[in-house]
Amino acid sequence: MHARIFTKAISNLPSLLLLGVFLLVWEGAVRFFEMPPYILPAPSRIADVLVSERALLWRDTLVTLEEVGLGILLALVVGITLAFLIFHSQVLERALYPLIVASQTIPVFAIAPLLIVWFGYGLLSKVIMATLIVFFPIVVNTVDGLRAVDEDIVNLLRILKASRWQILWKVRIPGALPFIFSGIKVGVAVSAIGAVIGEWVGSQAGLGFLMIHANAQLRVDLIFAAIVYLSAMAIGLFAFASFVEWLALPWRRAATK
Amino acid sequence: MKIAVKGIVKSFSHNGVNLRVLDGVTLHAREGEFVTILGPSGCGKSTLFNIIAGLLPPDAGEIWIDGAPVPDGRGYIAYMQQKDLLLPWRTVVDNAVLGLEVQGTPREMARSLARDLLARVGLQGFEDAFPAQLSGGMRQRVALVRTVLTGKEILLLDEPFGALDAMTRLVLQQYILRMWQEFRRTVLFVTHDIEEAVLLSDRIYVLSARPARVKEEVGVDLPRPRQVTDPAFVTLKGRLLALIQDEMKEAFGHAR
Repeated sequence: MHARIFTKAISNLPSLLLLGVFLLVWEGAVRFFEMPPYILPAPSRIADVLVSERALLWRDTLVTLEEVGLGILLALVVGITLAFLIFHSQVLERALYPLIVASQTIPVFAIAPLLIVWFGYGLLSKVIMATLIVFFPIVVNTVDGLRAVDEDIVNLLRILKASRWQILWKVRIPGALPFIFSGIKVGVAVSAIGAVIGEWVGSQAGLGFLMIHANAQLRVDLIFAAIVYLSAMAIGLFAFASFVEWLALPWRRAATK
Repeated sequence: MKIAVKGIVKSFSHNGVNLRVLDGVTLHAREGEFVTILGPSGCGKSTLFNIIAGLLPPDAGEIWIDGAPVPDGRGYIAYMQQKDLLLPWRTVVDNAVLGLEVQGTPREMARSLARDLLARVGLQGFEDAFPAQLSGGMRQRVALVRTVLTGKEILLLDEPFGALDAMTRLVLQQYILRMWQEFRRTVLFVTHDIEEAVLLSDRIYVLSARPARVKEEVGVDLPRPRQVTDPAFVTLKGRLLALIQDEMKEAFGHAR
């Protein structure tokens, strides 16, 4: 186990090194060209803000995290339900699939003001925006997963007079799970986009709200600090989703041993 | 008579061409009998099994089980194929109990039955492994246990060892004989391996090349356990080989 964590750290080393070099060059350039902090703050200054403004940053992170978290949960319910409907009936597939795809061609940015008008400045409008972004990869992957099962296995159960319900529970759903998790991971990685856009357009709290205000005050260092918190949050969510996947699919671990 | 198929006809149309695969196949197996269907590759053996299993409707013909016609064999038979069809997310023991589980047997009771049978095919210690951790032969042993554990009285075995190497086949053939003798199930076995057919069967149906009919019915009156080097064994093998070679010639003749 320790060895594995160590191997993992080693495998991440190149990207960490590259990031370090990038930050050093940035730091050097800002100092050398005497860049004013309201244009481009040095990494060291951003690091200071990360700590000194941590109470503010943490409070707004929790607001955004709640929006994103609820958005992901709603997207799971909506996405998996739609996927089952699409899988279950060709009529529903023809009715729903084009609309679902079309929904993704509309930039969330374009409908954000509308959602604020309809659902208010509070939590709900952001949750819906996050949901709109997250549900799509979940639907697509779940449908693919339900269809990916070897039909010979399904036939094996049919010969044993298994009911449709048994086939669904014992074969199709477990078979679809790896696909569903792929969808969730893609969705989770981009989940913050919806919430932050919602906060930009109209809100009273959250990391997006903090960025807009910091921008108005030329606090570029605070914007960067908010971005750091935001991406840490998204990475944390992704890691959490990966962990749940690891717990839920022990057979996949066995296969790679 | 445990199971009889009478006059099964099946054609497929492919790109507008009608291709007759089964041309009135009639055969039967008595209770507890091991009956092999031997035929050249592509002669429609698997199609016949799919019809018996209820996965395909026949164009004509009937299936009788226990002396009465049935729409198909679903509910009476267990089917084992060349592919092991294990569920990758289930452990060995949970794969083995699948058939019992579908029929509503309590899980712990099913598991203890499965553990017992798994041990008898040399899989003790692997009950909690996942299929991906097993070799092809081990996986097929799990599939065999699953098939026997369904409790169905008729087993359809469709080239179950087709994907295995010669050594592993020998072991699996012994396991299957042991299971058959112990549980006295009626077995319909499909193969294109003549030696395997003679080694295992009470009776052998030789099918013709496509469209398939029963070309000949051959009883195997050799004492068990059988020896492949026994002169009577070798003679019978030679006779079956001649029958099959006739059919192959016919098939290639058609191709030309």
